[in-house]
Formats: sequence, structure tokens, C-alpha cells
Amino acid sequence: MSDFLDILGSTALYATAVRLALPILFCALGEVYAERAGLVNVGLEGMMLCGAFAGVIGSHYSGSPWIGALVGMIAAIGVAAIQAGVSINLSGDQIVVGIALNLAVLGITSFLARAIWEGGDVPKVDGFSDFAMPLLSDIPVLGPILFKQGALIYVALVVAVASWWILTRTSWGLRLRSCGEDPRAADSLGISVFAYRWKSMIICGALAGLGGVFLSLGQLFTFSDNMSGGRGYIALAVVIIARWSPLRALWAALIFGICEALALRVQVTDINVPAELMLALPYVVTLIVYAGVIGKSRPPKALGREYSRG
Amino acid sequence: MRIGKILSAAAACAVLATGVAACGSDDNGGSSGDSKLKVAMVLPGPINDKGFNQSGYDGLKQCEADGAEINYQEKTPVPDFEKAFETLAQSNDMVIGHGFEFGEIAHKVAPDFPDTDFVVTSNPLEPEDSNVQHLMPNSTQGAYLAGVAAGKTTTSNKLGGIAGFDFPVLEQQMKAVEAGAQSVNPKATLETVYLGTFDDVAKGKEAARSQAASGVDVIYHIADAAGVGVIDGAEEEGIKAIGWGVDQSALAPKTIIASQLVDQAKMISDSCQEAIDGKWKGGLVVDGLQSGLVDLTPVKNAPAGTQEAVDKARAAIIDGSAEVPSIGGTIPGSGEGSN
Repeated sequence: MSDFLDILGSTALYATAVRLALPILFCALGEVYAERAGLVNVGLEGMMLCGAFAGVIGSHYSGSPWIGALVGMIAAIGVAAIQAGVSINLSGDQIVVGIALNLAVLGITSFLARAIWEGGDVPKVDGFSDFAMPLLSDIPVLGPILFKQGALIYVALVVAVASWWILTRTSWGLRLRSCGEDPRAADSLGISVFAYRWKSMIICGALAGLGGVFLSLGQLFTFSDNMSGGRGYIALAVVIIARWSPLRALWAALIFGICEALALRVQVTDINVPAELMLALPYVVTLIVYAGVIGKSRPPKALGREYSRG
Repeated sequence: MRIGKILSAAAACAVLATGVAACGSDDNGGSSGDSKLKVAMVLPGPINDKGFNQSGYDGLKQCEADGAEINYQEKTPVPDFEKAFETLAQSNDMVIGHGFEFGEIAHKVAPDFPDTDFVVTSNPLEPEDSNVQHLMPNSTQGAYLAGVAAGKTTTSNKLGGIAGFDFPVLEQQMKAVEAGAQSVNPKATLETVYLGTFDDVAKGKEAARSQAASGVDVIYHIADAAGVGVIDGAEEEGIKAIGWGVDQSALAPKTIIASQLVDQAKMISDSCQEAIDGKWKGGLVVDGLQSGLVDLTPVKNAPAGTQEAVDKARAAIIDGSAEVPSIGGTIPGSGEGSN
């Protein structure tokens, strides 16, 4: 038992948790925009994978991880545009489109990796290496957890706070949310539901793409097939735990990160907790939250429903 | 109406996705191809995983260089194994399943295709059908040598093992690493982490970094594509790592002390060559250190005397005086990929 407490008290555990949580957090923040506007975007996984792949391409040919990040975001926005076009303009089933996109991106990125590099042997590219922030990294406990990571962690924190402000404190955010609550009422007040839903999906694509970029350029500096590994689906659960709030998404993503980090850590000790149990923990939390045990959980009213005028 | 359209588009996408990802074929074309031996391989993972699957693919490419006509299906999900085997058996002279789990499938399919040769890699059991061949590299011998190198190198006496799944073949290799390490350093212990995946590279990296945080200073992995992340994590933490499958030192030249070689490729191309020569026959083929099929690459980044200890252990295994945990034993009925 003391072993377990040692692990829980170690900063290394939380540093690992933060790194595991970040790509999920980016996706979850994007999904909050989409779902607040009434769109269930199951295509997160594909957008993320596309961002990871395009980020590597961008960095490889330009030599700059920032350009890579930009290319990754743009490519993911491209996937988001398909999702938006089919689900918003053509009233296609949002979930079916998302799943189709995930499968398509998985195949296409693997195929392109093989087409560009012989045998799919993707080289290492320039990425966002970890660096210690002067002064801040010397803070005990928090320093090594937050301020010795790559540049994208700061982007994530800024995006989370900015998203909270945009969605809850600006009229733009209010209009966006109204499209997810009652699109017909919003429409009658002169708000273009199509335009807001499109914008929310583009933001979602950009952020999911950044999540992928974090994996490829922030952690591994290369691309490998299916490297998103289901994190896009986990982000869907994170949004539910966060009850559609960008700030709570910070904590929710961190819970998943900590559970995964614990699963890796406890196996190396004498503690007899099956790793599978640790891995299942965040999903149990999701169910509990969804069942309304912790606080009131209410999704946007028009979530997942197509909207057509007339 | 619209939904119908979307559904069919989705189905088309899905077909496209799996199609481009899973099917590659190397058709040399021309009518002269008729006389060539046609060899097909089914792989559980991607051909570019820098590990187990890639070594299988390398073997297949060697078959092509030796004059066979090849095609393959990669990233095959477990439920599709049987269908893939049946389909490929109809149009090929030889069908290779890369991984122990194809053993059962081969046994099921082989009687229906008596003229087709079936090959299953990494399977230590004696096949029941005359047209099935099992190829078993004696990987624990290499793992034992890796353990010797690790045991000599560690100063914290804490070794880390990172594997994809808790398959028996992998567990046996982990045991062999610990046995090898303890033969030169009785205080050394090995703690193994199972990732639950062979292709989540980021997870492999974090597993390595968290092992480093708990005091591990040499990591041994059997995690295929995720293993690339393991090596990356070891490099970042400034600890040592041991490669698996092929010589992985190029991935992190200052971090890798040696790589455990398991020349699946040679076993496969040898079997292919036998078929081309008309000498192929079913049965169990086990091979290891004696023929160099399994080995450890020359040691570097390690203390003086490590190479000598490895050489001594190699000689001891060959003359039978070293006790290496056996690779054989029970084989589970399902799983993703084995090594």
C-alpha cells in the first residue's frame, strides 16, 4: 500500500498524466464547440489522425514544427469540412458520417505514408521538444509537471480558458449555444444556424488536428499507422464528464491521463491491482457522471439532431 | 432517401479505407508469371512496424527476390484471419500466416486445399496436417543474451520489460531476460509492463518514461511499433534500451546497447526457397542460436566486459550448459500478434 501512495505522490506520475491527457484535451475542447452547436462529431479520431499525419508532412518538408502544426490543423479542418458539409447541409446522420470518416482517414494516411516513404518508413522530423520554462520550472511540484513540457501545453491551457470565455461570456458564444439548444428559435431571431454550426465544426477540426499534432510532433516526432489509437473516442467521453464545459474538460482529460499513467506505473510494483481495472476506471467515471450522480448532466437539447429550415 | 445515400457513401468509404490499407500486391505481371510460385502472406499488423510484422514482410520480399510472385494482406483483424486464409489459398501455391494464432486457422483450412502449402510463424506446436509447416524461432535464447547484456549494464539493478500483450511467447522471453540478467548479476530484477497494444507508439513512450521514473535503467521491449516509442522514451530519459527483432540501434544510437535478433525473414524465405526447389514439406521447424537465426547484435554503450559475458553465455547455450527458459508450452487460442 505504501508503494501505491509513493506513486500517487510522485511528480513523474502527473507529468506522464499531463502528456497522456493533452491530445485528448485538444480533441475534447474542439468537441465542446461542436456539441454546444448541436453537432455530435464522432469524426474526432479521424481528424486527429489526419492532423498527426499532415503535421509530420508539413514539418518534414518545411523543417519547422510550427508550419507542421499549421498544416496539420488545415488538413484536419478539411476532414471537418466533409463532416460539416454532409451532416449540416445534406442532413446526413452525424454519427454515421463520423465513423465513415474515421475509417477513411485511417486507410488514407496509412496508404499515403507508404506512397511517400518506401515501406511506410516515416523518418523523424523536427517537433516541439520539451523545454524547461525559466523560473516557472523551478516551482516545486507544479514546475516539473507543467513547465518542463513542450510548447503545446501552453497552447492547450490558453485554448481551454479562451474557449470558456468565448462560449460563456461573449454574444458569439451565446448564439452558438442557442443553435445547440433550440435551432428553430435561434433561426427565428436571425441567427444563421448553418453558419454557426459550420464555424463550430471548423474550430473542432482545428483543435482535433492540434491534438494529433501533439502526438506526432509533440511526443514522437514521427508518424505511425493509427497512432491516434482511439484517443478521439476517449475525448467524446471526456466531453460528457466535463458536462460540455471547456474548463471542466481540463480536469476530465487529466482524470483519464492519471488513470492511464497509473495503469503503466502500478504494473512495475508489487501492488496486485490488475492494469485492466485501472484502464477501465475512467469509463466507469463516465457512466457515473452520465447517470447524473455527480452534478446535473444535461447535453445541449438539440444535440445530434439535424436542422433544416421550413 | 438521404440517409440511404449517406449509408452507401459510408459503406464505400469503409471499403475504400480497408481496401487501400489492407491490400498491397506486388504483381510482376506478364504471362511468364504463370510458372512462378505464388506466395501470399497474412499479417496481423502493419508492414512498417520496425519489428515483428516488418520482419515477416522482409521475408516475403526475399521470396520475391528468389523468384516468387507475392502478395500480402496487412493489418488483418483477428476475426478476418480465416476468410483471408481461405481467399488467398484459392489463388496461391503458398499461404503464410505471420503469428502463432494462425496455427488453428491453418488446421481448419488446410484439409480443403491439399495442394496449397501453409506456413505459420512463431508456432511451437507440431502441426497435424501434412501441408502445414510451423516455423519456430527459439527467441528465448536471444532474450537470455539480451538479459546478460542488461544485467551487466544496469547500476540500479532494476530492469524494465515492456510488451504488447501477456502472450505466453512474450512472457517466456521476459523470463529468459531475467534469467540471463541474474546469471551475471544476481541482484537484478525485471518488472514487466503490458501495454495492451502493439501500435500505440505514444503509450510505449510513456511506459518507458514512467519505468525510468521508478528507477529502471535498462529497458527491454517486445512491442513492435509501440516499441519504437519505448526506445524514444528511453533516449529522452537518458537510460539504456535493448532492441527487438531487427537491429534497432539506428533509432537511438546512444541508447541501444544491443538488439535481440529474431530472423523471421530468413525462416520464411528458407521455407519459400524449399517450395521453389520442390523440397518443401510440412512439420515443425525449430531453429535458434546454432544457425544464427536468433542472436544478439554486438554490444555497445555498455560497460567493459559485457560483450565477453554475452559471448560466454552464447557458448554456454550452444553447448547446453546454460538453462534458458523454454519458448514452447501452451499456446492460447486467440490474440492479436505474437513474436
